[in-house]
Amino acid sequence: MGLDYKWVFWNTHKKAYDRLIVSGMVIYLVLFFTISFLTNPEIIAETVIIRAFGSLAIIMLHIILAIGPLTRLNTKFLPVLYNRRHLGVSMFLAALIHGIFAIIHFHALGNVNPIYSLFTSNMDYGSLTNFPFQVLGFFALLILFVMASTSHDFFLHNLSAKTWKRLHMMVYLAYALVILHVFLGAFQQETSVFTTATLFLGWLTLVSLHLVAAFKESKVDRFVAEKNTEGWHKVCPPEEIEESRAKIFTVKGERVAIFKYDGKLSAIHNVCKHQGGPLGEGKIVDGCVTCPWHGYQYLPHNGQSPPPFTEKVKTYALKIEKGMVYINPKAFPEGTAIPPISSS
Amino acid sequence: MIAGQRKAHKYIWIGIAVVLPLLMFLAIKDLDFTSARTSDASGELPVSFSLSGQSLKIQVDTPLKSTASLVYEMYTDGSRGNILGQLEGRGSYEFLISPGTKGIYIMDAIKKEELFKIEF
Repeated sequence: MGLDYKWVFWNTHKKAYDRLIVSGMVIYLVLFFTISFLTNPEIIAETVIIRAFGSLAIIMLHIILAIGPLTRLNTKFLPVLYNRRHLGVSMFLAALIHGIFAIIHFHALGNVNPIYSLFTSNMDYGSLTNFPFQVLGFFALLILFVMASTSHDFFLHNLSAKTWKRLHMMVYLAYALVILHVFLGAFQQETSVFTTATLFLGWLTLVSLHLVAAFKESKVDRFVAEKNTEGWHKVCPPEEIEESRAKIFTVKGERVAIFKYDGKLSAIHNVCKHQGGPLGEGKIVDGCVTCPWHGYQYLPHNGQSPPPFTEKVKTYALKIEKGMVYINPKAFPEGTAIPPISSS
Repeated sequence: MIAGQRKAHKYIWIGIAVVLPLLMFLAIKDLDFTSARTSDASGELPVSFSLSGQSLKIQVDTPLKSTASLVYEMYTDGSRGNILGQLEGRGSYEFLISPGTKGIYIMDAIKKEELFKIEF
């Protein structure tokens, strides 16, 4: 959380992860080049570059798409999630090199504009197996470009978290386009059981992870709490909540984080305004609820970020009845101060 | 994520789980996994030709799978001769061939493989 924007927000952990990303990419490329030239000495450099960077981008895309559901299934993966943005931009750069070399190699030597050539060199748009697959890759690259260029906090802040999230969910369309680009392109020209099966297994892994995580979340969303006569939802005994931590509770399909701190209890909406991080998985640091994803902070009693920051989340009223915490399901507007209740 | 986004994610991945494998299957169902060569080489010719004197007309009916297809003359002894030009996609191509040319070879310039051998 910072007041001014920086081109790249690096800290010690991010630098370590970035070194890991760069080393992984370099090792993969070196191995790919070595094996390609050893197994096929006649192969030309442009072909190897196109293949190496294309396959690298696909592998990275699979890793990126697996991180979200993995963190929902196991919080041990959270540190990887904090660094997903840099991985995404690196993946785009690999895809861009693949795209640029492919356009130069196959379309730049004629007498028409290379982009025009990409769309018109094969006009068999009505066919499936002869479909101009390069067009699919072009649109996937375009989506990845939009995502990479708007990945900075400046755009997140100015587009609003909701719009930004919608925009970045286009990565799923990019993934589908990339898969079809490979199946209708490379696999048509060089049939290989190994590469086909690998990509199919990648799809199977991603689909399984996302659907398992989605159905697990749906189960939590459908939770119906016991209510008292006034319609307040029964949560748990206060002792069940750890000091400086929260219990995440479902109210009308939305998640609420009930925090215990300094002998008090307060409830706020669980979703961080920055990137939708789960506030209830964070803890109280310096008197503020601190998002586990990027450290955005909120005061627990009013859901407001401490000045000069302006982020606000909804708040909820709590009470204790017969040794049980109850929550009013009706949320207060974002930033409304609600006096905390005693946890004893 | 808010509830709406969780739902959107779920439906998107149900869509990817249903539609994508169907398209993957349709894309590869006719491929020959026993051969590493291009599918062009195993099927019927995607090109037709006509010869009038020394003028050779080649009609490419369906796009060639190889990205750089070069046309060579075939000498009487069957060896590969002069390069005539490149086939870049569907369309009509006309080349001037040397007298005594017995046929043509269409080669994949990148993989350096023979795609088609056509004798007149």
